[in-house]
Amino acid sequence: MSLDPTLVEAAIRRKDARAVRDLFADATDADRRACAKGLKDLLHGPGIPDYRQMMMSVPRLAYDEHLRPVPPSAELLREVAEHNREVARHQDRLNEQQRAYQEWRKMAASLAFRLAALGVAGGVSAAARALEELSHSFDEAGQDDDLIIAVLADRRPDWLADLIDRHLKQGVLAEWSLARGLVRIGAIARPSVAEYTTLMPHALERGGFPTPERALLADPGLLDDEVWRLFTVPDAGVALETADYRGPENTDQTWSQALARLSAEGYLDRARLIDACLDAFTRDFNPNRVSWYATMLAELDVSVDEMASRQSKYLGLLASTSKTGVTVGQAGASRLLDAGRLDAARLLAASAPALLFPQKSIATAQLKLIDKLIVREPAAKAQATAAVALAFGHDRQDIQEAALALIAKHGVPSGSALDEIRSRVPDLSPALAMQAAALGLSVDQAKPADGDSDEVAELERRVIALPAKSGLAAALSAVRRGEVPGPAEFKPDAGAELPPPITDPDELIHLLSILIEDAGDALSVERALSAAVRLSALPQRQRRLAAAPLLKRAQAVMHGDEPFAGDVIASDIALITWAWAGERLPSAARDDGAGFWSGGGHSDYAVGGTGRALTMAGIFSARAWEAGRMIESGRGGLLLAEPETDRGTISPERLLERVELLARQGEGLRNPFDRDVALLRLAPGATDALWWAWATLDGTTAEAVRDTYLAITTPLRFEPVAGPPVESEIWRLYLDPVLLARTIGPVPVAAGCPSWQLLTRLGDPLADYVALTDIGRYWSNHDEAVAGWSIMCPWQPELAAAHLLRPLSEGLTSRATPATAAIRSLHHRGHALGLVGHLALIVAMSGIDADTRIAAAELWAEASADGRLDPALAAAALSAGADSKLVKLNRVAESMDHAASHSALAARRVVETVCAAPDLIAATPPNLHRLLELVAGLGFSFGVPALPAGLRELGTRRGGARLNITAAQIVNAAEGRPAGQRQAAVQALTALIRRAES
Amino acid sequence: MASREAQRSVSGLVIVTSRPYRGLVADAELAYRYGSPSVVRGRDVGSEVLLATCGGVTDVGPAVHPYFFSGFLTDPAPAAVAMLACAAVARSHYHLTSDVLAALRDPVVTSSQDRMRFESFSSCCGVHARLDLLPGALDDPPAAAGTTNVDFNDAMRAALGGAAISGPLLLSVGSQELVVDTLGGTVTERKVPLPDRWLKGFGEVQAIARRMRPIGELTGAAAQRFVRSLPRSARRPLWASPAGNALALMTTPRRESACLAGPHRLVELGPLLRFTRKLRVYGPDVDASTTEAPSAWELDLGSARFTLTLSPERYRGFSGEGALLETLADEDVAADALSLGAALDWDSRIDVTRLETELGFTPDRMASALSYLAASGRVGYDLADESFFHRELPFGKALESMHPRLASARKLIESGAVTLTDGGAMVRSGATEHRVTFGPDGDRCTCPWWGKHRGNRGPCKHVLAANLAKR
Repeated sequence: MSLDPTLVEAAIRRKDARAVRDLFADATDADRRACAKGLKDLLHGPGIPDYRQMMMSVPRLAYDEHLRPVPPSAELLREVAEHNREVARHQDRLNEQQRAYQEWRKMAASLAFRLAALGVAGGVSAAARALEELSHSFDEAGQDDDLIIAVLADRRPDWLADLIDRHLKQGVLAEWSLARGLVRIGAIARPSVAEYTTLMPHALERGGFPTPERALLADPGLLDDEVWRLFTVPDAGVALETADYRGPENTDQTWSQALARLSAEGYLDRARLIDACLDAFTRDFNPNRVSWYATMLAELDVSVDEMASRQSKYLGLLASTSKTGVTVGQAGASRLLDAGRLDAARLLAASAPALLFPQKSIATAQLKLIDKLIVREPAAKAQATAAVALAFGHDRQDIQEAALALIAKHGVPSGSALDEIRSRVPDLSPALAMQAAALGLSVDQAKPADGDSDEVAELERRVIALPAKSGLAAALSAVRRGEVPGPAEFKPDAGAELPPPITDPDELIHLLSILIEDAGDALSVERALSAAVRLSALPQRQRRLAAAPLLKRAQAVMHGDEPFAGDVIASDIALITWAWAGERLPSAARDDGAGFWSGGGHSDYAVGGTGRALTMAGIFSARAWEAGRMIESGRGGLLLAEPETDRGTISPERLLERVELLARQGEGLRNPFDRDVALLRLAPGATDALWWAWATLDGTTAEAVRDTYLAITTPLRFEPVAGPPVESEIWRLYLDPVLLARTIGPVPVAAGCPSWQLLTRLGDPLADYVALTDIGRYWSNHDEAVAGWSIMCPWQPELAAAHLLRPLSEGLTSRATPATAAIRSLHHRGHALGLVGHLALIVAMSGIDADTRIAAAELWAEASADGRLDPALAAAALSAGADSKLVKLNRVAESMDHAASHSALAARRVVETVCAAPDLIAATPPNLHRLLELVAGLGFSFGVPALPAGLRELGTRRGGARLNITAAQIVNAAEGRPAGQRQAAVQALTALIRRAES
Repeated sequence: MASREAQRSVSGLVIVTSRPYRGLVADAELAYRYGSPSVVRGRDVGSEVLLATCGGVTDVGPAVHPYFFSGFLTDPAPAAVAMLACAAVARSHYHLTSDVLAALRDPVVTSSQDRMRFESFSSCCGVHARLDLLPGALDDPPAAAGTTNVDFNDAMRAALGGAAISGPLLLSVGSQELVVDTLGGTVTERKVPLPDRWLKGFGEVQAIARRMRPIGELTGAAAQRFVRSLPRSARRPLWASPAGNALALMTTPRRESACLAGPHRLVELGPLLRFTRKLRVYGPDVDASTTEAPSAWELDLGSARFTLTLSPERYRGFSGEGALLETLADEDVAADALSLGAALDWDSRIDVTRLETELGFTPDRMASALSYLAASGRVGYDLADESFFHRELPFGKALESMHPRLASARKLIESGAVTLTDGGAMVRSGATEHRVTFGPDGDRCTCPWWGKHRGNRGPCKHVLAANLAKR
């Protein structure tokens, strides 16, 4: 063997890197393999001390249910003392291992050591590890690259290129010099990975040259290939921009200046450079990361001749997705136009993408360019004005207006150009109909369909069939006058009856297998919970057999998310499944060592150690806890609170049946949270029989039960409240301001329903925010927990909405919230929307997540169609939201626009809502013009109700502000009675009739 | 390269098998070898686009660089922009961030008697794009029929945007002249990973499209408004439902609505909207209990159509749909598909009635055989025409062999893990025995996979095994 491991080891120990390289210079693969064996112990080292030994089980202190520590026993104190002695012995052993490891690490960080590791590496992974260490050490900086290159070049393994690619991909600057060195000596081909290009500007800057130009000239091979890659590799432009930004600190020259100079001096082909810059805008680059190429073009100072020969490219840039790219195209076109060298027809043919570009400045610039073209080449006027009409399709109404203004300025053409413009007129916002009509470009208004009168006659027949007290005659008259009736007077209703309770164990297992994965369907969760209790009377063996396929998964779900914590309902279901299969439930204390509880002793549980709900969010888990205990007993039974309808309600008759059944079975009301929720879900109309039966079972009096029920069904009053959660200064740092609802006036006390106290802790929701939100539990997407809140107290819809405002408010600024689930839980047509419900709707319309805004739009449309949406309440909510500065009107406008696409009535309610909010208009909050622009457009199609004075006044003010212009358009819209208004009127009356009929 | 073994497929395309990539589920590499790069050249009037071809099959057999077409496009601007959109989908990955570069797989062109179709499939396997240049778009019919890959290199794409506004556009797909490769130095060769799931999805999307029907139609202006009003991102699938002359977006499905999961995946429609006459939306039947579904978004550009088909969820490709597993598992269907495949002749619309008569198939057998061929990459489905068309994906690999769930189900049968019971089966899988229940509304299982997807992604391996055992 010509390579002696002992010599290599000696060289490593004296840190003689050059000697190591020399020893490996002529080694064969066999030599290297043999040497690797000889150096194995040295290269691997003594290993990292295993500190896990320190993680011995620590004697646990006990806590009571209020999480206060229980005084330790003498036995526990002895255990603690022994534990501490054992820890000290471990510590001594570990310290010794640590010293040996540190010494080896010091040696291993040397270049000599790593060169040896590279020299014996048996494959790309081992070499990659050695190289990775080198890039972090640099204790012999300066000679690193040459020696590493030499060691690698001596070997030239077939994985060398792969190794360099891997390291470049890690984005470490030092690797570029290494890669370049290997390329230069021909050891590898030029790497194809992007980092070989994107690291180059910074790496050359670090190379000690005064300017990029000098750096490139010092390695002229770079001018042949690498420089051109800067124009074809994604993000190379960003690397150059960063280098230029940083450049003045180190050099007197930017990269764009350097390349321009090299081009002027003949080192780089100027024409190719210009083409490369222009092409960069049409490549698959991130459109926001290409501005350097515009800087480069500016540096090259492209002449008109050069532009003229590239007219197609410049005009092609008008279709670029990059704003910078379009701007370059527009600037080029403008210069060519000034020089009289632009083909007008080609400019107009290429203009469409720029006229429709989302950003206003680009579309405006294109209109100006066409304006200039018309002035310079009047012969192109007809074709140009026709091209301008493309901007009628722009999202922004002000761009559409500017296009109309340009056509007005140059005159409406005739012939085919006029036909072309007319074909685009339907794209215009209805709010611009009058301006278009003034130019002779009228939009055909839809005429009421012939079937309309038949439809109204049919509605009349339905109204007549209703009892007189329904009061729909006035609404019918309004529709006959073409007016849109207001919403229905609304109270919560029971909803539709659910299918019969589950009694088939296979059906239960089927449902559990779904709910373990996704418990987002709150009604299915309730049905499964009740069925599991009911069917727990089956023999344990039968249950175990049926549930066996689910047990492994149930265990995994419970270990993933702690059950009975108020947030992950799927985990509650997993534990119910576990119990139903006959497995042991853990004890209530979370430090029982059973392995179920992962958190142990945190104070932020929604459910306390005894299974008692600490916040309203814990009520379901507390009920699941009760159900789990019933299942564990294997005696069957029933849950009083099992919903009977899809709103979660229970009829008095059904509840009486259940209470009587419990009485016959000799059971008391031993599950307090089941009892509470049953009362909360009880529909109106209970008789004394229920109160008596209940009292007998509960050991109380019928009067007490009835009083409790009366208390929890008393309508509550709320008002909006906004601001930062004020629990403590610390939380304020982490929590954004929120918009919530607080109770006003006295809240009835319901002695027999502790859950009511949890639900109504809303006197100061800002001060109590941390307790209410159970901080830490609802910051992530716990949709399934929130989905069940609205069916917890179906007869107190405002109370449910007040709680849902918390996740919705969090959704104003954070994406990881259950805001969408919260707003979706209000969709049921039986859920009345009061002020708080409307506030929840408006807050959702301003949610940061598009899903939330679209779900809110959907609710708006549904609530319009079923008569729940009240424009006056929506206006009050909108004003409160804007007043809080937390609701963003641009988002609300976008959401309302989505809502308006659902139906004429939804659109009309948008107009009515804004018109019913004089305070909002008077306050002129930011982005009010976006809302008014929407209302103007909708108003022309669906009519405008009586206008508030403030809006009229705003519309008559002089000035070109968008607010005034759009207000004026609304005032104009109010003068018409479009076909859409009649459609909305019919839909509104239909909603009222349906409500009355049901 | 010691671990790799190069094979040249019958179509001339090089499939290089290799070890799996780190972080990628790749079973092979695809090597594109073009005789010369595609180019866009200026002409005295207008421009000329020369698309280089590589591999595939023609009506006379496998070809290395097939030639299909040379002629003028009657409406060049939308055709050029749509070709760019098709290429953009091929180069996109809609699930990962923009920092992750997609594998640059090239579009596939199918030439048939009267039309040309450009197809591409995103790297994430969740978006399929197809541009149909209908008979009216071509001044002459194609010279030959077949399928091949076409090169859409950077420079060519950069020039194509400009060419679209430069008057007449002469398009050539392949060259009539013999292209001298390897010695002339003009050969362009590029290797990309060819994961099974990508290949499988490319085939399966056609069979999934077959189950869709029209949901709604918007005029050009309404289409522009709708597409521009879409949010850039949405965490959960949205649903588009016809409402008057518009499409209303919702977060909950209802009958007559199409799922739109990951609205950003429609981004390539943007540049085409100004040419759009109609936007048609297609989707399968859904109801309020549907959680997600695929959808197709078709732009009518006059003499061309551009269609984007989206997978049910933005992070989920078509390959995992499993919609055809039961069909693929049936050996009779495989035999029928073989007969049907032999009877196809690059039809732009497969005449199902004629073939049923010729082959003696019932409509059900024909439907199953067509689905089988679709999953195998041998036919595509045209939603507008409501018909299949013949094409052979030029990847030289049998797609029907790539269904791990089917393989697992067969393994369960072979190992005797399936015991049929009254109305179902018990299937032992590892230490757990799952219960499969056959039902009129679909079979169900007690495994977590079924609990999670509830049959939306095809049968689980236990249901599949139980059904195989039942047969």
